[in-house]
Amino acid sequence: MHKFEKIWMSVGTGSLIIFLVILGVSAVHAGHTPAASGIETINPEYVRDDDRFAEPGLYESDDDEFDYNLYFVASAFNYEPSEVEIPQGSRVKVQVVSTDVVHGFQVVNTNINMMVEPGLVSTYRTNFDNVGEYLIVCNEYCGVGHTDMTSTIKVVEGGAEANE
Amino acid sequence: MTEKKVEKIQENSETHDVDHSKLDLRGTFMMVMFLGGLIFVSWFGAFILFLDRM
Repeated sequence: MHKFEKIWMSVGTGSLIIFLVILGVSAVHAGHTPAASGIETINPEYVRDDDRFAEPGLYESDDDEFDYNLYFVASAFNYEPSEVEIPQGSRVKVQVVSTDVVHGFQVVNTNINMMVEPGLVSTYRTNFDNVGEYLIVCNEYCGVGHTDMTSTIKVVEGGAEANE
Repeated sequence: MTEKKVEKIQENSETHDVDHSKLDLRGTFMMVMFLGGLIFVSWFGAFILFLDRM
């Protein structure tokens, strides 16, 4: 084998090992899992019968792990709620369901990016540490109104009394 | 027929080995390293962006 071939094969193998080790540590030690991992099912025709999604929005969490639960219902072609305020530094469990077809749920400039499939509750656990206005967009083509399907998360300083 | 052919094949094979190690692969080497570096930097770029948005 040529000397150069040995070098580039070693570098390639070494890089692959480095990537896999980082991914392994990140997944097992830091607990980074794919978005919407875990399967919780819900009948898409009876989404509103579920207490969480009857009036979706931001609610204080009973769980010690989170400060708030944020519920969203996606349907052609809007998200409910259309705007929500979250206090800075909150630990939030985001749960999204669809009542009709497959939608996307991407919060721009964050790692939140989920598919929202009818029949599944898509869940993402996150912290909102930076004050700002975050656009939510649908990134799964869902019909003629797809491009207008948006919502907004406002991360604000202080309390969350404005949330309903 | 067979002995001569076998000898010739062996000879060719040896010649090929010698030639292979003498190949000038500097250009290929630089290009492979350049592409590898690009992949490496892109991978870490995406990973750092992911960590930054955590």
